Amino acid sequence: MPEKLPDTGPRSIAVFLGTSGSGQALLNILGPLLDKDTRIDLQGVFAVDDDLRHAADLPFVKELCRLTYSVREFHGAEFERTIALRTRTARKALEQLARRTGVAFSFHDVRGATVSLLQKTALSADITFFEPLRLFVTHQVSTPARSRFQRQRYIVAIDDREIGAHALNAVTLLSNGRMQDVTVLISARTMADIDSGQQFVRSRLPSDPADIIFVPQDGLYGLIDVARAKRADMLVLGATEETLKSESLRSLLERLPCPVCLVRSWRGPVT
Amino acid sequence: MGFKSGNPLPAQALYRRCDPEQFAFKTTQSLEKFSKIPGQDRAVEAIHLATEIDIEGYNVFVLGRPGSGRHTFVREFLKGKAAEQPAPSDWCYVYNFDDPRQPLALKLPAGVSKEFRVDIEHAIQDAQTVIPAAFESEDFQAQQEAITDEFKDRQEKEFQVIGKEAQKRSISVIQTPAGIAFLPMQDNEVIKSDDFDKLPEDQQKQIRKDIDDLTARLQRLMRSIPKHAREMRRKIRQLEHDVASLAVTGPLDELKTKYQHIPVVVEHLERMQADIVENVGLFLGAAEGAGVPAQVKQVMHSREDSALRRYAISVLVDRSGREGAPVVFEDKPSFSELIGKIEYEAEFGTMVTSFNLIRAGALHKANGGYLVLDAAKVLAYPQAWEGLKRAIKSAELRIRSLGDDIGFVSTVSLEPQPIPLELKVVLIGERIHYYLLDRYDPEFSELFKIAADFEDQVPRSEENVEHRARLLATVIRQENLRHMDRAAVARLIEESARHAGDNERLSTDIRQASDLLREAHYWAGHNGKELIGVSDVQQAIDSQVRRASRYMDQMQTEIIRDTLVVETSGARIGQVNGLAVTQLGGFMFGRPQRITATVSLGSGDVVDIEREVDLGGPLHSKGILILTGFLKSHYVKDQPLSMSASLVFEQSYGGVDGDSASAGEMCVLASALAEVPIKQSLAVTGSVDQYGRVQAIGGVNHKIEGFFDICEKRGLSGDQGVLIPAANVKHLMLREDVIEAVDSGKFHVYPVDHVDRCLELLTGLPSGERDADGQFPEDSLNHKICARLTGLAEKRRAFAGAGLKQVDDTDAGKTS
Repeated sequence: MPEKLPDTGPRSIAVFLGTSGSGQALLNILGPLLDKDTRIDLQGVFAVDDDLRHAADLPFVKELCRLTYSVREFHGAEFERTIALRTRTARKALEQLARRTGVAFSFHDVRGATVSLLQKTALSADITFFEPLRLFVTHQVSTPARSRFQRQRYIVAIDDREIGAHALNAVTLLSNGRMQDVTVLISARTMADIDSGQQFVRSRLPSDPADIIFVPQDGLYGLIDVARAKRADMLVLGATEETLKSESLRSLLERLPCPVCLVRSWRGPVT
Repeated sequence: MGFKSGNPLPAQALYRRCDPEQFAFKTTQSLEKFSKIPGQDRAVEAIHLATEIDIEGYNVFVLGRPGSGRHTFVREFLKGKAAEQPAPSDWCYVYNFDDPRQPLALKLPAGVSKEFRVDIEHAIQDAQTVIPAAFESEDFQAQQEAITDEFKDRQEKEFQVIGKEAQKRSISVIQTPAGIAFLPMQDNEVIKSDDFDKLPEDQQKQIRKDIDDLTARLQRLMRSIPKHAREMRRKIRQLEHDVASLAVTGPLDELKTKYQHIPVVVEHLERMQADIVENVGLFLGAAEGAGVPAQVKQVMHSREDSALRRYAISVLVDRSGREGAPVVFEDKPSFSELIGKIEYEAEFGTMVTSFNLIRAGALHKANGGYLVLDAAKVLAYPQAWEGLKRAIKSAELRIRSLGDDIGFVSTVSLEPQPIPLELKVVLIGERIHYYLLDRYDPEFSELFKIAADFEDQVPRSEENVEHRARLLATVIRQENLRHMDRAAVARLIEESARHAGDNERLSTDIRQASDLLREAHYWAGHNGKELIGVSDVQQAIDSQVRRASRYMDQMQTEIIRDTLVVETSGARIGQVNGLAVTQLGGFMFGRPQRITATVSLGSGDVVDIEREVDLGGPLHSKGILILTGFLKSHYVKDQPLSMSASLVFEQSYGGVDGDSASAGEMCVLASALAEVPIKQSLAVTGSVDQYGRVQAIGGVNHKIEGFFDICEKRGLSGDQGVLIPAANVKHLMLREDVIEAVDSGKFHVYPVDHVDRCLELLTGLPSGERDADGQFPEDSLNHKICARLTGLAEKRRAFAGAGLKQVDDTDAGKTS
């Protein structure tokens, strides 16, 4: 069982939202975390990328609509109107979530380079949730059987043991303790790493996870590849120095098909 | 027993005793059960015939008086008959997978339906476990993912090709709020508008062309996605279909094997299997899916439950544990209780129904057997009679609501498949119901071809008396009453004859006899006896009379108090004591009624005052007209009846009907004509024909007792009595106190066969017979009547002559 660490006061959870949607799916995922602790400061960060603004200034840029597959002009005024609407929608969704779960709430509308905005957010929050850019969204299919039996598949990747402990705490809460939905990825070089890794994971989780996979220490790209292969619904990562590098965050944003939970510090549930 | 008209009857003629010694038993304890109704051979034959003839329309109407044992007999008879017949089929309703509005009826061998229902319940429960397990299995998940992965991989590869192409041309792909855009890059950054303008025109054109090209390619790719997605969905559905089909095959195949001898069941199971596979989502508990709010879950659970109910079996008629054909007695034959009904239940504020809410009616339950109904009740419930006739006529049962039937309700409801109907309907009713239906409903005689008419009375033969004794013993056993000694049985037999109003017959009113028996049982217990004896029976009779006789006592009291004038001594001209009977509920009593007559010169009219004021019924008026005819033919054959008479029932404030007073009316008219007084110590009852013969009347015992009671209260003088038609002597079953008074000469009962005998007894004068010249003897009563009538005729002629003369004088005056 994970050890119960002393309460360290209010914790901050940041939800980093892009312009492509309200982030409702993301909010649904983090619900279980908020339900268990009211002393959380929920920060909504709505980021508008500079590139988008520049694009809106270019007269020949066209937008291919995801919904209708039609091509239309992409100009500044329309862009600003859409952004304003999205901002309001995102704020409202977050506010409702905060009200329902009884946590404190703040909202920031920021503009700049997405990666640096994300980096800044991740450094200031205990946990940061964000969605990848997913330029090409694959079509979803829904049947009664799928909707009934589809589970959230959490993949938690551990490189650094200290920060990894926090990531395991977070994934325990996010999965509502259903360890059969959790797969743990651990970087390992030697058999000793594997043994100690297994012991570490089992000592931190309430029960055995669905799987513990040892991956060679070939950095974040290796983890991303495994997460893609495993069709993860959420990737939980420790916010290490390596992870918070711009290049790493860009990779996460651009290459992952699922939301990411970056855990800087999470000391277990307050009981 | 011989007796002479005009002579008083001996006490023995007033009551026919039942000799207890005629019984071979000492108490009813030794009597065996007897379920037949004695003396009802005619009705029994009719019912037997109706149940034997297997032809449409041979239903039976059992008619007769209440209490005559029709219900008991029909029940026992049909139970016996039904026991020899095979049990008919069970019936169920099942969901119609092609048209849910028209549930299908399944005919199953007797006793199978319940088991089939349970089997289906278990199969569905199994399916609820097996199907989710199959869908949750790693195999299924893996196959499903393989399909989606194939689709996703294909998409991603195609996207990647476009992405790489863009990269090659230094064009970036970005996510816009609503979609995707291609942007030109410079030094790994999106080119700004100003910088773009500074580019050579050729490069600008190339960039624009590249972007247009890439956008068009991406658009084509995205447009192809729905088609691929459809293909993916089809594959996933096919997979789900295959998995569901495999999962459900096990439980349903077992049932198909079990019920292979019933093709309709196998067909239904096949349809059910196909439907389960098509609607597999119902078994997956979508409400249990992640992220479903609690309130929505509740609604979804309810919807899923109600949707799953389509696989249930609604057992309409279950014959399990029953042998023989059904015999159903429906006490509340309303439309829906007969035809069946479709119930509704509230679901989220609306009224909904399903084939599970179809309820059987009495016709369903009795199908293949017998349905016994009370005719009056069937006729009393709206549309019940019409519904019953329609079902019998069409030989099928079509369940619909009363509202639908009369066109009141237009809501969408079910139209269950009709069920073939094959049964015998037995209607039990009174004669009036039978004859009214026969007269006014043309379909009645077509549908109820057999009438079983129960006798009101049966001959008081030794056999019937013996049967009655056994019937009483059967009631005693059935109701656990005290047994009777044979004297008590004899007393009940006598009372039955009295109830029939005939000492040679027994009433078939079994209810009345049973009630008396029950009360005698009470009195025996009250008196601390083990067996019911004569005194207990008598106590029960007296108690019944006492309870019912309030009005009779009140009338008698008022006569004694001279409020109602009835004289029982002395003699009066133009006044006679007639006798009337009153029936209140089940209690009948007689009382004297003063009848008076006045006579004057007239043109032959006998005025019936009762008729003039609409208090006289038609039979009474008929009696008056008959006696007028008798007056003319008997007294003044060859001259006009030159009198005017009026007759009245004094102090009568209700209606009068029947002709039983016509003998008395004749006598009082004769008294008035002859101016000869009538003895008030006598009362008279009887109807007369046009020749003066006295004919039988009803209620003779009560009439005699009614007059006796008044005389007895005033003190019996020894010359009091009642004149009754000679034809009524066989009906005499008088009370013990009357018989004792007659036996001791204090009261008399005179049988009379002609009005002349009445007049002789009432006036004390000989009536006289016409001699060879057609004349009555001078001192005879008839002579006085003739003389008076002749005198009146002469006066009339004189009046007529005077009038003529006056006219002639007038004419002469005119002439002169």
